Amino acid sequence: MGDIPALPRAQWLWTQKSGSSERECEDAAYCWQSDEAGVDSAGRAVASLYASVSDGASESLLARDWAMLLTADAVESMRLAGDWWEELGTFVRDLMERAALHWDAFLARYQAERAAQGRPIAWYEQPGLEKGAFATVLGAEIRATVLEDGTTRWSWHAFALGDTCLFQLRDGRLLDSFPVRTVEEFGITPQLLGSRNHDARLVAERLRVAHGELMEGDELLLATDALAAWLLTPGEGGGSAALPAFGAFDRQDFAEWVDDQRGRARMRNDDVTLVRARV
Amino acid sequence: MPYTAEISRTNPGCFIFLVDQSASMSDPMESGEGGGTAQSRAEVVSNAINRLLTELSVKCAKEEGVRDYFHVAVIGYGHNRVGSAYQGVLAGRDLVPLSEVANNPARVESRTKKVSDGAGGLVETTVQFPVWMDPVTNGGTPMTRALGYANTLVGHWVDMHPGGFPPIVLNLTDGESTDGDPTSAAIGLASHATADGPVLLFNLHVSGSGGAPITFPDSEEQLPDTYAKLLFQMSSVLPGHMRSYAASQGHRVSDTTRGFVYNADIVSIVEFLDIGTRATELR
Repeated sequence: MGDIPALPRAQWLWTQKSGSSERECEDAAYCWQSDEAGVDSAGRAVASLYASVSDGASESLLARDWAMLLTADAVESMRLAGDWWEELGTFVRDLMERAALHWDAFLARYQAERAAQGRPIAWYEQPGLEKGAFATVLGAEIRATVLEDGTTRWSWHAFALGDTCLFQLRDGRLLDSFPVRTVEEFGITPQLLGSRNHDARLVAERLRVAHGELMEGDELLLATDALAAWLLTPGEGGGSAALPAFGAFDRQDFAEWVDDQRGRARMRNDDVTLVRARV
Repeated sequence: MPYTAEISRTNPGCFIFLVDQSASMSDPMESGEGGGTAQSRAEVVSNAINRLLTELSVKCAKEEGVRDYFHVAVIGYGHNRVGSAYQGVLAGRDLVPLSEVANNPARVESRTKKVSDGAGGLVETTVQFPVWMDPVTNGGTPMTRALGYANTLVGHWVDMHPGGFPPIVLNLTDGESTDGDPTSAAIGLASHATADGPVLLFNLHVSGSGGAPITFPDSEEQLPDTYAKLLFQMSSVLPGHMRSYAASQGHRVSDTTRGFVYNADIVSIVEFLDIGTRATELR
């Protein structure tokens, strides 16, 4: 069994929509990587980087909290299931049960805190709380598998509900996108996971999965819809022009770049999140 | 393209409801099927506006409270009086930020509502029903003065928000103006504009005869009399996003469809308010 190579480091960039405060950003991301090698179903040494991005629906209450909870639970469910894509129904049920448990606990805590602050839930919040919070969710695993000859094979597996997207880049250019392939596919009513939805069978039916092989130097981008649409727009990310050097960006650089794109009417004013990893 | 400005807390939308409070509004409302209901026209209209203010508040509610995506005025017009129809803490106020509206209903009533029991039946449940305005009926229909009142509010608003979505004025009435031809006042009102387009004036005529409502017409041809035609001419063409929404709700629309309902029954009053206040995306 060969040595497991170092996993890529995930870079997380985000900025809130113009006119909102940082605390009002309703996107969320969560990344986790294993410190030790595991073993896959074929007995080969593997190591994985997990990442998840979620876009909370602004029309719902507590969308930011639901998105944060979903990303952490998505990573946890992928990690615990191993080859999670093999048994999708089981994976979805595990994720939804985990999220429902955490959400119920969160809601109870939230309502108690509001009461303690002398700000009990108001009449205009009650319908929103009853309806639940909604968010997209995208989960991805970058896996390094040590083959019998000692070489490492890099691959990715992803699942998506909604229009938060994964992009594979090679030599700085788009190679693949998932689950949205063209900018025209971005609707105003994307698939969302509701905090009160317990129909795992229906969610499993709607969930999309994909995988791909990675070559050394390839990049994976996980992006919420405004940036995803930009990346797929001909003449912007989807054209022949090279993409910005996101790898060199810090949060401030990213926020300035997004602002500039919005100012030129090239990007919709929305919360924007990017998680990037280079193999 | 007009009527596409983003609605945000820095560039909020503006709704002005003009509510006829003349004596004839105390007449019972005719249902769409021709049978009378127990409610007066004024009760039906005030219930519909209270419900709309509730829905707007719920729609704009976030964890920190209701966001001021809209400022809302409810102006009553009847005998010797044109002015705010808000009651309680907001009495006398014209345009009020939505957060203040949400936090200051005159009272919150408990009403019963029938909901699905999940097994094909209906069960009664108690819901909270905030009330900002009560039905008032008295005297004539000073519509020209009411449009003039809205004109002043709109003039100040567009000065303060020159780049925002233009104000929307929704006039709900059951009779002809008793203080002269309102056409000039309506033209004056709709002459205000922001960079995103002229002010929108939508009119609703509440049923008096019990005949079938004429909803969102695109020509005068199907209208029965000169009064209906006058209200049609005073009404703005629906912007694209409202037209699409109206179409999605089963209305036949064209590029010249106007924000006008004639002979409205209870259902079409609710539809008129729903479609006429349909916002572009909130940010």
